[in-house]
Amino acid sequence: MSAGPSPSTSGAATTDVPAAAKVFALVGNPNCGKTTIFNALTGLRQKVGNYPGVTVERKEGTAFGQHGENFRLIDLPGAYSLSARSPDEAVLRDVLLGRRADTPKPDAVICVVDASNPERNLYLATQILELGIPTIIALNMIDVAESRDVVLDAKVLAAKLDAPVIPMQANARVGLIELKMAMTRDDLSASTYRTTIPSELEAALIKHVPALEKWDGETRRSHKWEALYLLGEHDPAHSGLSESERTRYRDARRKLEEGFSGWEETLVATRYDSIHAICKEAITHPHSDQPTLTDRLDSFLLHRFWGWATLLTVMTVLFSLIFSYADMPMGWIESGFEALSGWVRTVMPPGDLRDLITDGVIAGVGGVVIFLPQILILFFFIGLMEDTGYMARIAFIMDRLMSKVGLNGKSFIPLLSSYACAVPGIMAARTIESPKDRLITILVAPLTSCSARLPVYLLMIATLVPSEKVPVLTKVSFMLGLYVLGTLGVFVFAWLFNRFLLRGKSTPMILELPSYKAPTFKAILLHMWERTRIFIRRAGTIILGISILLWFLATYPKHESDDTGTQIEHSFAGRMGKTIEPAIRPLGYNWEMGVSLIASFAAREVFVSAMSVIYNVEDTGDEDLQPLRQRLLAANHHDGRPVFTPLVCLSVMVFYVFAMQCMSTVAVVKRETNSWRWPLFQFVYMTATAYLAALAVYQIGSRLGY
Amino acid sequence: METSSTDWQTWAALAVVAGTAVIFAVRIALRRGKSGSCGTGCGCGAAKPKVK
Repeated sequence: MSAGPSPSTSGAATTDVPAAAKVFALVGNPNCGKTTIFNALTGLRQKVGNYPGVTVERKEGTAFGQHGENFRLIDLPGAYSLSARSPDEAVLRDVLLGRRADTPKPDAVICVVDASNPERNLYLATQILELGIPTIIALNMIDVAESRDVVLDAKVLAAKLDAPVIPMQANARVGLIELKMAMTRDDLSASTYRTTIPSELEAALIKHVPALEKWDGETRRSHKWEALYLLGEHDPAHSGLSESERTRYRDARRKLEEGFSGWEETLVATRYDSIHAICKEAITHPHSDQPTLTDRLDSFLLHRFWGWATLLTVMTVLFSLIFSYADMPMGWIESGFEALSGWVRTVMPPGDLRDLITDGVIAGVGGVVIFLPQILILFFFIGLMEDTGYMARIAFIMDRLMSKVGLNGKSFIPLLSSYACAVPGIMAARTIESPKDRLITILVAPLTSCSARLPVYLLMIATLVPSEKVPVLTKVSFMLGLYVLGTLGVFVFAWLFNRFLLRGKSTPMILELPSYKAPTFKAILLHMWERTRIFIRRAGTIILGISILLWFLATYPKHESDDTGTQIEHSFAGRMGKTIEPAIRPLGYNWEMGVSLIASFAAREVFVSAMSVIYNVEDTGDEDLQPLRQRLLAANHHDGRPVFTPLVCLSVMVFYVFAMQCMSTVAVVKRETNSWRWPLFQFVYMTATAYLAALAVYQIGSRLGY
Repeated sequence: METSSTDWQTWAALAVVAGTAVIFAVRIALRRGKSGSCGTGCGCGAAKPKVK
């Protein structure tokens, strides 16, 4: 009986592989189902996206072959060609050519080809076959191709490409066993496929590019392609070449252009001619002129008027569901934390440790965790929109608007990711080729309303319009308004930066619109689980830590007075709050809010936990804990005026729409721009805008008598 | 009885606070040590490719 894992099961999600394990690289165009195959082979959890550029980082995992063999699998960024136009495409090229010190050169490649769009996908596939690395073609989404009456003959394709071709439907695990069997094949060898380069161009290449001298020879084959791809390098900073080599390549390129004008276009056209010839024999499209279901849906969903109307309706429904369905689970969580706090009060004698646990830890962490159901509903719908293909349509609709303010259409993907969290959004900006567009996107991305703002918005909306008094639609309109305000901020500042700060040419967007498909609920649930994990981890680490420190600042030094109000006013937090009070008083804020503002410089949601800690410490001795929103509604100034008037709540929300308030974002902007200059600029412009906008709301509102 | 309980609770609470502050300080110090990017300021965050 053989030991080791069952052949039918996927490998564990670890990278603990023997050093001698065969290395496979997983490559393909964006949106071809590469991530789904990676998940299926490794068991690693990763988001499945429907729009290009979702895989920016290289990912690695362990896969098992059909007979239990260990493989190391590297998931490379999606790309259309090996002629790199962006840093992530340069990473793909360099890994395949063995040019990176941090990644082994793959022993073999799994090239994923979208069966519903083979002509375009085969462009990259043929480039890879020519590198001389043994390659398996995973012909994925065969079901989508069949639904469009596209008939592919895998045997003919395999013969033409001289490589194994595995028809697959990765989301249903169809073809996975065949793929694993192909991975274990001992006779997996380099393809002999070659694009025939016109003789005049070949002569010019050999004449002007010394590295291409032995073009006809089979040895050091990839070196010649390496020279050719570096010759067409659009982003020399990522070529890894020394200055002298760059000069040599620049000279060769100049001479080649003089000797053969349009050589790059000729190479592209030649390759496409070869691909068309292959497709003519291997693929038949009986009804290629008939509009598909996707075409019919797009004629409505991308319509100039109906497209926007649908988007607005979808967003309204989304926020309505957030407010309607989250109430009950939020109540359970709230009761759970209250019960826990009450239990601690009964089992522990009075003292500082008990207060730390109830007023610091439970109040601080509980104050944020309560919003988990609403965040989960939001991510369920984001996952649903991504998985069905609608998210790419939103990108398309928004591009019309974005181009008007000089933003690159590719900026939409990072900006969209930023609605979940600015950190991955900013990292996704690596897919933007133009350095100017990339920087503008990074600078405006944190203005989108991320999920960390959600607890602040929800708390303030609950305080502004208590649920028993107003219909859900009123809350929805407030929430939509905040999202629209943040999005407007993105457009306004992008236009300003484009006009006055970073001048230069923008590049046009190439956005692939995937076919609509039924959502994979497993992928959506995994995505929700991932978000829950991140949220709970933050609550259990950063928010827990800050709550403990805030409790200390709000409790010490002790004052002889028994009055808790006097005690907290004399505490470290009270003194800090009093110090900044003159600066925030024009915004309508009291010193307690000042302390929460300072604490939330680390992370926005800390505002809620900080308010929770401070208002709990103020009410120490109260055995019957009240929800935070009720405490806020009951809070009064010394003269008896309520603290949280509707205008103050609005002012707080507007402040958080524009404020930077996120250390992780500052850190990632520093890393991505490799300088402190831009994160500091970003922090200053966002904080100043937040202050001025909140000031305007409060002052104008007060003058109007609100 | 309550005084002694208050005393040990005060010390225990302060120890928790001090421990938290130390963890934060260590995390910040460790984060500073890490660095990424190819060094060209392009925003790729990648390690420098080896030059052949």
